[in-house]
Amino acid sequence: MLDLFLQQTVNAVALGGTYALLALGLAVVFSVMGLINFAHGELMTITGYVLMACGIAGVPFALTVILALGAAMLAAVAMERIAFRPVRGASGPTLLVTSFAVSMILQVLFQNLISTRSQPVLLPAVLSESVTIGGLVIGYNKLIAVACTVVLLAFLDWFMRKRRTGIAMRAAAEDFAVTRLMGIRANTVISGAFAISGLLAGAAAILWVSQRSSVDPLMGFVPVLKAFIAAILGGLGSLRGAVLGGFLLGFIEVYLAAFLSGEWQEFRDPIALSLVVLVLLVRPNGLLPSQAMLSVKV
Amino acid sequence: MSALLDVRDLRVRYGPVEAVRGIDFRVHVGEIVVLLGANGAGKSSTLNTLCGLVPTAGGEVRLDGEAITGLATEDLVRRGLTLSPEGRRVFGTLTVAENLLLGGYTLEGAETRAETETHVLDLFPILAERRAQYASTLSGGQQQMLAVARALMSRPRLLLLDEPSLGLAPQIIEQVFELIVTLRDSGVTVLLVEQNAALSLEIADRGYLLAGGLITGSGTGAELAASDTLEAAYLGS
Repeated sequence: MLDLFLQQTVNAVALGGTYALLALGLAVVFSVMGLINFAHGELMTITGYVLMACGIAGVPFALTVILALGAAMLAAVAMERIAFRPVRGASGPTLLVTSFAVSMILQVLFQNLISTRSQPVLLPAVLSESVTIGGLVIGYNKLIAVACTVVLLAFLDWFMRKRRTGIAMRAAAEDFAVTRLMGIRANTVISGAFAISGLLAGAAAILWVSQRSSVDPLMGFVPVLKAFIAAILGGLGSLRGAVLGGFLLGFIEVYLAAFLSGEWQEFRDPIALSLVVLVLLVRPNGLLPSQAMLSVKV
Repeated sequence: MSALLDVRDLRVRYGPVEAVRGIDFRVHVGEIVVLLGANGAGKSSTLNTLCGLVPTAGGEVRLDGEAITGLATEDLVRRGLTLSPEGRRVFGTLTVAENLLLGGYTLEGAETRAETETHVLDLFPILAERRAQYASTLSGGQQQMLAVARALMSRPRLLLLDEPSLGLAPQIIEQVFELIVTLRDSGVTVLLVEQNAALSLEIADRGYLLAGGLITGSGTGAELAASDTLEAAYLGS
């Protein structure tokens, strides 16, 4: 029983970490421009297709990862430039609908230009192997997912606290107009936020694909929906909240899948979402609400 | 004497409402100039449009002879015009040091930034003590000091101060005003907007009265303090 519990805990950290990266990407963009970017999932899908293409072309995996992350960042920045810059400063609903439009246009493009069907992704064999640690059989892909999440979260924490651009992003999340008064260009902050969200979505996509070895046009939808729930659970706009919410949701899902008895299994998702609602009933602003969102903006 | 800031026929509009209806004023190098007036007279609108936060609906603004009308906020800071906004608006979730760092964002080179910070912290020893603290944990007076210090970090030629006395205890207000005089004496030109007419006229070299978006009077601090138009400007008659 303890073995099973530890095993599932590794799974929960791996899945929760992926949700955390996605939720963090959503939160970074939301905190600086008030946009809930539903097209975030398509950044994952783009990354998935780059992985697929590199696999077919026989590109070394290390280079593949760099190309995939680069493509995700480039796509995120391009998305902002083409679709979101013209509506910058518009109301929340306008931004949200714009992001739906971007999401659907990209999905249709994937379906028509690539394929509506799921495509296999060639990955290094090591990702499907596993290691035995003290009686536990743990997949390398799970261990790598946990390690990547930790490294990325540490990097982001450092970036937001130590780099001038990161500090400017935190300031912009609190008071955009005054951030501009400091001489900080709005485009610098917003493009930077999108680049980071792209990096996080790309990393999450690599981890996601490494568990499934396939990519399809709608691949990003479900994980980003979950990440959105995680971001709300943690407190929308709060970066630490997004990470916490992501891990919490991962834990809830994995433990429910592992420990609910047979006849209850089909109610897994409703039970998970009920738990989320329960948390929000007690803490309507999320677990770690963003200070900036609570404050009244002048 | 040539004007550092030369404002001609400036207009600000919010939809159909004209908040500033064509005003002319000048600020010379080394002066403290105060804009006085009741709530809604157009004082803050004037400052906000000067620093590019609100679009200019008409008129011309020159900084040291160069036309700066309609330039973006970010570019105005680089030309030496900085606003310390109404209500302080320090970044509460950032530390004092981070607030100052962003204030000096436009400065080139780490050395220049460190030098400027040392210079600014000399003026505000209390902030030096609280460098590592979150700005939200400072008292109102300290936050006002931080707002001014943050603005000074960009080494402005002209500092715009919007209601620095707002919400502060009388004793603290006096400290803030003394500080403004110190700044002027150290070579920063100040354009001040205030509700506290008595105190600001004491420290101002010159002042303008605003009512209903128009300038209704001007003169030296002493002249304005003695005139009837001051009361009229506040009573709106």
